[in-house]
Amino acid sequence: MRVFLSHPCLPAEGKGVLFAFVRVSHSAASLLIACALCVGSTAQVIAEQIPGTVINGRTGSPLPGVMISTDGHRLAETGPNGKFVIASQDSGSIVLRFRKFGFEQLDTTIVLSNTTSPAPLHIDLHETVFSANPIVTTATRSSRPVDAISATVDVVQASDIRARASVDVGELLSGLPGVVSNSYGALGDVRTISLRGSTASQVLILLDGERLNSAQSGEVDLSVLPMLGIQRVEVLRGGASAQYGADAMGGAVNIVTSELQNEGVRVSMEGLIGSFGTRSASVGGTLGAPWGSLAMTYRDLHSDGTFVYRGTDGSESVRNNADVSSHSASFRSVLLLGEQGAKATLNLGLLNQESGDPGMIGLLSSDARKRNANVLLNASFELPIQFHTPSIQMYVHSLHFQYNDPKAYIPVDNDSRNVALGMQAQDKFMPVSWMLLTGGYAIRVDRFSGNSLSAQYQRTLHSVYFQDELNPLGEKNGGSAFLSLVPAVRWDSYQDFGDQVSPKMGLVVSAGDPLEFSIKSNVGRSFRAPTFNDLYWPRDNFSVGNPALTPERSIDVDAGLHVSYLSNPGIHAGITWFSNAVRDLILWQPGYGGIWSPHNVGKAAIWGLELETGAGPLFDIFSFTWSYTWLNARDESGLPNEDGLQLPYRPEHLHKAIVQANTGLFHASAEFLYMSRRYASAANTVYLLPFHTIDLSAGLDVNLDSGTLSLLLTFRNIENTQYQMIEGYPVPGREARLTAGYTMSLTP
Amino acid sequence: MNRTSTASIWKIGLCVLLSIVSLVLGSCDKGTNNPLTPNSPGSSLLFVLNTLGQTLSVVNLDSNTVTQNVATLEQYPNQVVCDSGKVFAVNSGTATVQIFNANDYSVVGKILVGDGTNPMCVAISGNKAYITCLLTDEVKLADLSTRQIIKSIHVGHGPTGILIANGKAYATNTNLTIAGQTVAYGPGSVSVIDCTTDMLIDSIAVGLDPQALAIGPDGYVHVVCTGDYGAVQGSISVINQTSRLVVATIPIGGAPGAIAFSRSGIAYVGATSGTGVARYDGKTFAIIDSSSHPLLGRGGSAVAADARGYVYVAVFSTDLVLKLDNSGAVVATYPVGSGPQSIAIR
Repeated sequence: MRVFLSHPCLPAEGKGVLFAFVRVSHSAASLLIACALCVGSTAQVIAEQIPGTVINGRTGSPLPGVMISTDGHRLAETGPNGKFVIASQDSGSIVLRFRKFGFEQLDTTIVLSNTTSPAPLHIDLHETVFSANPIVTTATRSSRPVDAISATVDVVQASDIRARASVDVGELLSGLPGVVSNSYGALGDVRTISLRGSTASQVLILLDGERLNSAQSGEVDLSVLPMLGIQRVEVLRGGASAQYGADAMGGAVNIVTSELQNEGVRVSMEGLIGSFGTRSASVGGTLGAPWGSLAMTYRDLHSDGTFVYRGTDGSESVRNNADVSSHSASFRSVLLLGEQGAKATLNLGLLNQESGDPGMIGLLSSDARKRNANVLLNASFELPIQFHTPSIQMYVHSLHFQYNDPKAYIPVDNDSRNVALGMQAQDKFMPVSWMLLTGGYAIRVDRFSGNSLSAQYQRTLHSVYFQDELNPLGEKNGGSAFLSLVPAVRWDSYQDFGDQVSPKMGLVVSAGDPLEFSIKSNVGRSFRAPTFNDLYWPRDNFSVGNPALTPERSIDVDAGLHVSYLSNPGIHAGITWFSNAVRDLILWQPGYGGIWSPHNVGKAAIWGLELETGAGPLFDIFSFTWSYTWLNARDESGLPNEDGLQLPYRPEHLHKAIVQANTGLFHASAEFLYMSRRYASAANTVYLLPFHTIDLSAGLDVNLDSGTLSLLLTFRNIENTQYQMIEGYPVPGREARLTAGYTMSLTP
Repeated sequence: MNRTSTASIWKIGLCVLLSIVSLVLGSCDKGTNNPLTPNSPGSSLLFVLNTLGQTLSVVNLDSNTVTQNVATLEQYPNQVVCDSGKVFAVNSGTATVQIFNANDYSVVGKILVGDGTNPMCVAISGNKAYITCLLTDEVKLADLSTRQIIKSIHVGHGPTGILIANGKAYATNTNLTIAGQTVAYGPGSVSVIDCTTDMLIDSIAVGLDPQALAIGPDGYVHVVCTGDYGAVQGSISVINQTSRLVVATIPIGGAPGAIAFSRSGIAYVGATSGTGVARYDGKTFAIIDSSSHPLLGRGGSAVAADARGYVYVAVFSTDLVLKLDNSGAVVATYPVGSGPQSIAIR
């Protein structure tokens, strides 16, 4: 009998005994915290390791990221090749639970003997139509079910992306709970989001865990993020600087692309035609093999964008110069190396987009043009070694933006390039089954060049982060008590404005059967970095930057109560209270000579309630979700006419409801959105009218001998509601889109 | 599942449903309707255009009372003018001139100046409104009966301020230019329009970036020039209406942007920086308080004077209007709306 001895902190006998140990591969911090918190069980280890493989029962392809647990204790997670190894267990029978989002949970009982080695397990998981408890990675940097994490996270899966017929990330996110999507007009116009009363630059946008927010402006225009190669999008509400550093004051959005494809060769084609002269065509192919997978996609999108809007006098006008034309491509490769589950990935995203900028009502710009040329390159390597998962990730983001308006009163011809180079080294270490330590170091260099600022600027950032996921009662296992405590801290050292420390603590407690009640809470500190524009805007006749700026800071707290019906977790309800005390807000103010410059003078107190409930699947077909956000975002600047009032563009009430039906062959959905008035002035004297919209979609997925034919018809804003998200920038009315796609499998 | 737990689920479900219904109903926006008290036709009123709040505030100078937000303006409101019982508000963003009744603030109508024109200021002459359009280098002429634009008069580059005196309209041309990525000001000028023929009849060279005008006690047109906000300091160009020549240049300094003459003939010149008010004698042109040592030490986004001898100064940063007596002392302070940018007296 071989006894597995690599467990460094597992006491042989007696609870709470601290064991000193030395392993060269462990960091000192990991060692200290792991041992200090070590209060684990004391079972004697007498059985062999249990190897196995998990595959997709329909396609036969290996399934990575499947969580394996027993009796609430997390045992292992499948690697990129679907393989896993469970550490030695007591002899006797144990029930193994296999869970992955989008697949039915499977429990299997195995009997372990102390005389024979266990045979490798072969597990088939079957896809589900609905899942109420997806696995997410953004909240803790590790794969966790949503109900087992303290943060509020919503997920859009690839199937949802197809069902929504969205053409960019901004469109996709607009339907999610708690997301206020601020659009400046049609496709190709700037679109940003706000979470929990934040500004656009207080929401961190991540691509495979790496930040996209530019150091120049702090924001990300979601209209220039095409939907190519996206596996899922996770939206985390609440501060997350302890995990990701700057700009995650309202939350973070993580766009995940790098996942393994199914085995075999698939070629897909898709065409879209819609209102406002929108048409797109895309073609893609995937190759999946035991050694990994390759995926390539190309899309061509055009939209005339011309639409009729109702002006301030009630008369109808045509909005011109709102066209967009984009070409985008993505390439993704995943290589599986060796039996240990080593994985190397390479992702490349390319975008070339030109669009008009129609301007504001009354100040139209018929000749203003925008051009974006973006290159996003990301490479990573991961090598699981027993209880460690070290990884390294490197990336280059090149964002080239041109804005040209020769007929403006002050003609504009801006050309700017933001380049970010970054590297991150990280290790996940599971010293005991109920603890997962994550630590890492990151370096990033942001460089700006262009003519909108007077010189080139560069910012170097060093970061060190650490997080400890503690589940002393074991993994979440419906019905039994569950406790999770996640302390985290991150240190960011900026070249141009010093150091920031962002701590956070998350807590989940749940129990009950058949109704499971969960309490979730988080408290943390977040910040937003001053941008290059804030710091270095060259002195002109109107404005000048302020190099003495410090980051915006916030203390964010939330607490929620959630209840779900264990027999059908889709039947659930929850209420979350959140609060965000924001200090040192950067506001541009007029100074001597009428020159505007930024100062750390703003304060805001933001708090509110989020309610969410849902039911489904009902009769294996229907599902329903409803979410409501009440937001009280108050100015505390002390300025007359502004102090104590609701911050501009923050709706007090936001309702979203979705009804879906899916029979496998046919699927349909109806989405409802209601948004209350948004003040357009800080004095709350001018506001945009409340509005509601209804979107409908219906689709067919027909399996043919050679592949799958998909048809989807969507109607956005079917009531043709006229509304604005930003004063002076109307958005299009009723819009229909027809999407036809064919996916051909070339594997016999 | 036993009967008790089933009942619990139904109860919870019912509670959730009721919560949803109450929230949906409770979260619908309700309109607000605060009735306003009309002013008597003879009352003396100060209208304040709050550019950040996009509203009008009104100070009743007889009762010293302030009524906030009597009217909601459109995007980027820039100037308010009071004439013949009506209030005119110029909105640069939406390119309109809103017209209100000065007594009860009711809406009289609106002039659509035209997309892309960026109207800045308006001056009224009888039944005609002359509107400067920054982006089209024009003065638009509107018929106040029909509220339609009836003529466009091409003037200099980047017109802003406008004043009508003795049958002539004087429009200041800022002449903002771009050289590469550098913003610069070309020579400023004042275009003169004959209000009888509505034709451009002259152009007078003045200082850099002329923004505002007022008639001095000697009948001269005093043109406020900001300078370039840097090396070139602000000045006042004084124009003889008859000869249409600049007869004097007053080196007031700083970056002035507003002007009004008190009943005693003293010019109050507001600083764009909001650092106070410079003063000079309107007849001798002698500087009393220079821009480097301004009166008040605050305010100056707008100035106006009434027939009783008081001068009013808007303070943009603290949302106030200050009432000054003949000596320049503050005798009253009126809290107004957000970002007072322009004031007008009836």
